[in-house]
Amino acid sequence: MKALITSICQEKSHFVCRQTGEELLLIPLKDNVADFNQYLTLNEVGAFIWENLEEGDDEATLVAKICTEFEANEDDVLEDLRAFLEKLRTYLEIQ
Amino acid sequence: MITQEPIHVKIAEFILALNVPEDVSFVLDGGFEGFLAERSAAAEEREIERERSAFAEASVDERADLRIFCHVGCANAPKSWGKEIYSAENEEQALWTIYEADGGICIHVNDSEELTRLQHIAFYQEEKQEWTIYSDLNANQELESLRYPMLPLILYYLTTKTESLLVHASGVFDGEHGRIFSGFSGVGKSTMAGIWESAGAMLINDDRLMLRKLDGRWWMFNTPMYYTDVPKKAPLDFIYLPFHHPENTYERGNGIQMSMRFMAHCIQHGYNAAHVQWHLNQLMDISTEIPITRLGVVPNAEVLTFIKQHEQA
Repeated sequence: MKALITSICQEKSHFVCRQTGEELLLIPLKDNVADFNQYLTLNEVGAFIWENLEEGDDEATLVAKICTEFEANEDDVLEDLRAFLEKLRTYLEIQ
Repeated sequence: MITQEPIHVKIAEFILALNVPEDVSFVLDGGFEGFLAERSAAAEEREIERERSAFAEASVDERADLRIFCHVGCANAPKSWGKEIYSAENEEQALWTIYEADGGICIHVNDSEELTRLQHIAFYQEEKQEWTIYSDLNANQELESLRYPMLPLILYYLTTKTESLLVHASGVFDGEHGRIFSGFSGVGKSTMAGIWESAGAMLINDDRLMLRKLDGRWWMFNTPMYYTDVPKKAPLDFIYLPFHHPENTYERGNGIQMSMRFMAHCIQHGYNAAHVQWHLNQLMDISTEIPITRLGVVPNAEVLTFIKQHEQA
């Protein structure tokens, strides 16, 4: 999971982001050119994770950040976090 | 056109000051005719400005949004560009190529009618809002510094610094509302514009528009094309994304989804993340103020009533 988090962190610079209400809009830059057809929107929690994950984070670190921010249960957060990161991995692999 | 005074071109209420050499015939094609600020008026404005200002040197030129220095000969351009950062190409040739340069970028622009021939070498300094353009003379030994596609490139870079966007769209104003119809070739932009025009609306342009926020609201403007036209301006009230359909349909959808569909028709080079971010910010501002609607269209006059009814709903 740490490797996945690291790879997502490294991909972040290839996106242009814009907050729209509670959603975060991500526009991928492919070969340094924006692709508006492949945008992704993240909800409030997804946006928090995207903005706060850092290289070196592991599951536990991220879960702690999320629980602190949203006052959530650790077990629920862990399950949802894994599902979210896997979806993000799939999306990033397509890009 | 030979002049010692800068030539002022006014496009979408931006003032472009062109400084041209005295010893060569300088030409702007017919499409610019209506966009030229009257020299006498400009000179008069300069005098007024001098009288008003505590600074004797203040002039219209200094208040220009963009200054363009025109020179003869690509061979005379300083060889000061760096590595290539972007190339716009068709299937075979580069239309223009962007290189790094001190304080900005350098664009090598090929002749649109003969792509193997270099037409302009242009340096853009973003902070100073200055272009320096070296152009080879045309067949009549005239200097055409803004010859296509130089002007659209200049306008594009204006949109990376100002609250504005260039968009592939037709735009009409019926005296009450301004509407644009945006999309790729063949979706019915010109058809829609023609239907509105037949019903008495003013056609702003049927291909390319500049959208600009002025005094807190968005407006649409035409820009010089290859044919003669006069500058036109209208408020922007509705954005439509038309497509041919067996019946008229009206779909105001999810904000981001519609915004991204519209963004795909905005003219953007996308190689510079800061520019993409800027344009995205402009687009989001537009989409919070102007409804964006997918419009299935049967191309006849009934669609006008259909649109107006839904706008009022």
